[in-house]
Amino acid sequence: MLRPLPLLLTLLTLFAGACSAPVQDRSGEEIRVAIGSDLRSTEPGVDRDASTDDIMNHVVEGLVGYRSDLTPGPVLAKAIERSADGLTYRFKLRPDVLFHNGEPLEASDVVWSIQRQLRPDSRFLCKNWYDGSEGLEITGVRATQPDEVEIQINEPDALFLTKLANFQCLLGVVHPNSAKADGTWVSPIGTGPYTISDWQKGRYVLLERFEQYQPSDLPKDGFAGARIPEVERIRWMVIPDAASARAALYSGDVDLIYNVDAADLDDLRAHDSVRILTSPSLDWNVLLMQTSDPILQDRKVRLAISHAIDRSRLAEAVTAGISSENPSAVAASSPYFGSVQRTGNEYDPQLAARLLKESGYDGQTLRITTNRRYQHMFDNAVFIQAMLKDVGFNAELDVTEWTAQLSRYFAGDFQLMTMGFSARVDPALAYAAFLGDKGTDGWAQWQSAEASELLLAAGRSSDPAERQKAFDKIHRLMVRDAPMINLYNHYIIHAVGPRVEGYEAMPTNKIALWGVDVDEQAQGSN
Amino acid sequence: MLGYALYRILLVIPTMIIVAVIAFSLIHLVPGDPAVLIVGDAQNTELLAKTRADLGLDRSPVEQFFIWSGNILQGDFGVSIASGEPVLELLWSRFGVTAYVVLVATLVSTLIAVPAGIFAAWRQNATADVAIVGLAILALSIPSFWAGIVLILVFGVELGWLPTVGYVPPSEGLIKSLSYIILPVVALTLIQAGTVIRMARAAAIDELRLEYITYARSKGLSDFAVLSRHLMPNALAPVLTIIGFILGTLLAGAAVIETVFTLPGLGRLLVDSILGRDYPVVQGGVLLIAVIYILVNLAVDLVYPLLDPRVRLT
Repeated sequence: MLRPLPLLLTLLTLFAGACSAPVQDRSGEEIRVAIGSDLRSTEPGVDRDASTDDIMNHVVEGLVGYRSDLTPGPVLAKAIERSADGLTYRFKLRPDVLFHNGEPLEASDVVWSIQRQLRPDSRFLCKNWYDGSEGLEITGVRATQPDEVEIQINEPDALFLTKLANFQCLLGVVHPNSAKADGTWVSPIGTGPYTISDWQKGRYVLLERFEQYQPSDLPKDGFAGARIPEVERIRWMVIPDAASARAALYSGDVDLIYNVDAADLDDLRAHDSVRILTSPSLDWNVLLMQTSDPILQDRKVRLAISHAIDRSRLAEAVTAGISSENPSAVAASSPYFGSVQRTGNEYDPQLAARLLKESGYDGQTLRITTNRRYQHMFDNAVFIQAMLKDVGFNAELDVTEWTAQLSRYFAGDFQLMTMGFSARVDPALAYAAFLGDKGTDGWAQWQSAEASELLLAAGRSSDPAERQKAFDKIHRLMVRDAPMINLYNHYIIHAVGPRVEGYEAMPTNKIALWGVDVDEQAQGSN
Repeated sequence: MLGYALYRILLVIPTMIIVAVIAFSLIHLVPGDPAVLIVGDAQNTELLAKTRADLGLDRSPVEQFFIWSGNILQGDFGVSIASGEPVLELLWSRFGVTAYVVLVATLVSTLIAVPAGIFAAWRQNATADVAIVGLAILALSIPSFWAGIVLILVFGVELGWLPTVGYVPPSEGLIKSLSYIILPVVALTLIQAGTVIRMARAAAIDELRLEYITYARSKGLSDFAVLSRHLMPNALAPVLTIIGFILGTLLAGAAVIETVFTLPGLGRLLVDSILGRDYPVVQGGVLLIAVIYILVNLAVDLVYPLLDPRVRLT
């Protein structure tokens, strides 16, 4: 026979006790950051996503990293020397750098790390950047002195250091004990300002300050320069639900949320204690058009679509005014973004309707593939559908699940698709994301021998003026061919709680918490 | 009863084979593969092909099924594509979180809902009955995610009494652990209590019409004695079925509640795994859920004759 009353009383007593317990252990210096998904792996550049990059960039460092102005600057390197023929790079290493296991960094460790990532069976995501399959090849890496590494490449490449600094494909330097003798990854023994002290899968990743960290003498500058770990611990808390993450920020259970949707800005603004950082990012949003589709292979139809879309209104509405239209693949914050990049196929519904008539379009259905996981992609699709209908297109939405959409993107299996590309700091890398051979690469959106030649030239040249000329020409070709439509650069919305001091959002939308401190006296208020 | 239990346990084998085929087929029929998520927007056709080959996705689905089922027979559920963890270990750790929260919620909801339902039946059509039934309908009508968010905003944000997010296992301190699960337990209790109250009330009303209740009252027993000693045990049997059903469903994953309260439970794992096409986890998870359902239903069936002696298991 059940005796519910005593049980209930016991339970209520326990609950009452629990309620009187401290809500969160906020003792010590700890920053809590909400991340939408758990760390995928601890091996940089192999199995990653945005959250993984953000965490691992505090643990593992490369020779170079992006400065605030997106140029590559030294991290583990102290000085970088380029030979006159552009084929040899010498990296002098910073002195007194220690790995997390206490061993000093030597040039041989850098050589080992790079060779490991570039070996034939490696799953390093950007091996194609260095193995010659796209032109550039690292032909040799050697330690010329205990504190000097020499890297030889097959041809001059203006983007070599830019690629080395890439945070998504970090050629990170780790101690050889990070992997087994057969190359299997164990765990990262890096040189970063923080070490992974605890990873409770599905709950949090806890980083602890590396007390023996020796920061660079240079001032903090984006990912380059001094990385001073002010705060003792960083706890990356896995909070997949955006509303829960905001509630946790308001209550003080987390100190920083990022990748906030523009639709949630008003909610954030209602809380005085929250500091909101907004700016346009390097990520950019596009409408892909499958140029091998029977309807869309007609350039007039594609141009009609281009002229039917009011990018300015679209950007204003979807980004809550944070970003504005950008008809180019060159990021608006890039030094290569000039008057040429500002011009595109203007919004002109009459011209769009005329072009459509001339093309012989007969009301066939055009399907715009999109997803609900990324709200801005869905919003883009809804706006574009309405604009296309206004000029006479029979456009329908094809809402699918994100992974399915991504598979269709890789296979080229769509007519129109709203998509976003992640940040590429150099225009050459941005164009390389969609320029290719449509016969072999399903992801290639634009096949143009002329543009490919220009891109290759822009990659080889170190002369900014020469590169600008090449990018201008590519942009003009793209406007003419209309293989896809660049809409706008995405936005950055970070929300910071009252305890955090010295945090700044970076244009790359990456999180760097070195140099950031917490004020233990500051209290959140609603 | 032992023979019946053995018979039911043996039935697990064909059930699991069918479940395995369905689980494998369904997840592989969903378009999209995990390799594209790993490669992301690194536009690299060669790497995509290599990743697919590394994951065994370049083989035919039939071949993949036989490799997977052959490994399962040897106790190898594979490793998660997303995290690289052994699937069985991963499922077990996540199931522990779900079981902890769901069992506490079921206990609380049963302790509240069964007496409330019986009391409502006892006071049928009176104010108390109308109030209890009204509250039960309200609890049933509230979407769990909404209830979760409102609880977080009230008790976590406005009052600051309880943590808004996170999970602490009991091994790290029971009181602290309970403080983290109070809100999800309340949200889950709301889901369960509405159904159980209505079921308990209906079962009790049926029993109240029977002669033995009239006889018990005529003996001069107090209301409490009639309710607790005579009515409740008899009304409990049908209620147990519905509790077992709810328990099985929630143990299989209270995905929405787990997502809102950031509990690293089985439901959230499975939803993430489906979205990430983490085939080994999804397939292993579905098998685990099937086993949970079978065991919970078996347990309910075995307890039934203890509550209702008219039931015989053969």
